[in-house]
Amino acid sequence: MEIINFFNKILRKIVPHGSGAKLVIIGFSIVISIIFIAIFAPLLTSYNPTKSVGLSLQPPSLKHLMGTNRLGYDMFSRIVYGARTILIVVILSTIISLSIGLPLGLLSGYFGGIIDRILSIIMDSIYAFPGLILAIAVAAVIGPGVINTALAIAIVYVPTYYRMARGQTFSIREQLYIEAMKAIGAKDRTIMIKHILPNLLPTMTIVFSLSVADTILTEASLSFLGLGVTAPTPDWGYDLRAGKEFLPAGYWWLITFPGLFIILLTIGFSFIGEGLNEILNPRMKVRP
Amino acid sequence: MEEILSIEKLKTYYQTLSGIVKAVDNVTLHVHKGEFLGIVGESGSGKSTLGLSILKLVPPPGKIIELNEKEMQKIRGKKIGMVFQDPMTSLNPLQKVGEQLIETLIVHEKISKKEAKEKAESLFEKVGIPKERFNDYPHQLSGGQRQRVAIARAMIVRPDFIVADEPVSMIDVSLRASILELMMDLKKEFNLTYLFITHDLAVAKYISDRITVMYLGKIVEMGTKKDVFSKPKHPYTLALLSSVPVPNPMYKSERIILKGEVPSPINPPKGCRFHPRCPYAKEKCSKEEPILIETNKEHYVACHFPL
Repeated sequence: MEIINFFNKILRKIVPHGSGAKLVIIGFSIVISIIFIAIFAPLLTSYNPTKSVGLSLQPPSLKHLMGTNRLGYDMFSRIVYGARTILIVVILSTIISLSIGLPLGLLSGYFGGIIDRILSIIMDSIYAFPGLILAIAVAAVIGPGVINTALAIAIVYVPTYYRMARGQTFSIREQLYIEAMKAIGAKDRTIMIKHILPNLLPTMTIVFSLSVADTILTEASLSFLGLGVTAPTPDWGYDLRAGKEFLPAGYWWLITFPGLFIILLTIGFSFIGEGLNEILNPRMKVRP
Repeated sequence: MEEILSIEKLKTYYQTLSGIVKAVDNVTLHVHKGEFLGIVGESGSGKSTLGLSILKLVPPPGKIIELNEKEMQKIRGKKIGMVFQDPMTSLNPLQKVGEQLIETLIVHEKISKKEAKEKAESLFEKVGIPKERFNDYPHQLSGGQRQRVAIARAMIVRPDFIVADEPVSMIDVSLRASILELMMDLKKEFNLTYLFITHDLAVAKYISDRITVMYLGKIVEMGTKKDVFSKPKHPYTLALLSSVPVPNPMYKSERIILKGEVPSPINPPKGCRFHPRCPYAKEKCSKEEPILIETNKEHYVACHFPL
């Protein structure tokens, strides 16, 4: 997405090429801290994120670190618990799309032929849709909610994993050691699971972290449009939408904090992906 | 002599964009139990394809081997082992070398992991790699050691027959003899039969009992090592032999330089496939294709005018 590219451009000004490890460390620290926030949410805040705990539309103060919203909910605790929501949706959808895309890509690339043709056509037609539009369409059909949102997002990213796995399998299956495994009588299943799959992992890790960054934005966008996670579940995208109406009136804190955290989490994953790509992909190193 | 493998009229063709490549064309070959059969020929003569066809690792052009994929999987490795040319790429880079051996065992035998490990370790010592290297990855071993692992992998389920596709051509010259000796030792110990594919006549002479010479997908001459090397019948064999350097400065050999290159296997010459390059070619050679006939006992040649 353009937003991610934009951030990466800024990042390049700060962190020069050839320092992939630094990027990965920065990315990991961001992601890990947000995961910690999500896990230890009850320890970080004593307010219930779905109950009115004070006056409405209060600016940030010591009592309410990020202020309160229209209904008097504490924004800080909504951010903290919102991390849980977004992470659950993202993890769930990634697991779903990975566990569909990867095996199909592996089968398709290994056996080729008619199965490969059919699967490729299906995947390419999904891929042809703009991701967000497709997610909106699916979400509109199956309805809102945490699991449904995860499903809608998962469908968008199945082709990404599929194409990656298929392409890699194509090149790996031509390697001599695969032929050697055939020559000792190994079954196709053994070759795929024990010999091709491990060789897919480096590439899949990069694709994984880059598309997770994308997934976060899609999740936030769906909720922002009212098609994702619904009230009163704390969710950054939803809070962004709810706060938008109050911006002209000067209540800046309602959208600043959810927006900031969406950006942070996205940047975290995209740094990991970019950094890993730089470390694992030798061709990147010569690029200016 | 007892036959361990018999190939009748094997044809392996590859479909390419520019036409059909007849990599192996009508090859009949009988391998005797316990022998070291060397297959020699230039690049493109179809010797590697012949090796792969035996294991049915290339798509079969016809019903040559009347076994389906499932049945072949039981034969591959168990009955026929294969050693590949390049030890750098024939081992999985992400798997420990010891595990690659264990895996081969588990594919074919009902055996516990522990037993498999013991077996693999003892074979490791036999092929001359210290047991400590068992948990190394392929890139941590030298080329020679890797080829030893590849040989061990082919031997571990005790096949009777090994197809070795240029197993020493990528090995450093200083190590070749030791790898060849290892293969000979294993042959004695496990009562093996080898089909040894090579383009190196010196290697073939060193190791083979019988020699088969291939040219453009056909067998041109076949016989015992002594017959082929001392009394070659086919002009091509003669030319090949004259290219081998002799380690005697006083010896003046008559060099036969072949004109041109190996013709394209897509469109092989009519008649005898060697006739455009043959110094002895006559008119008949360009018209009629010679068949493999026995001239002396156990000495076959495919030439209208054998030397």
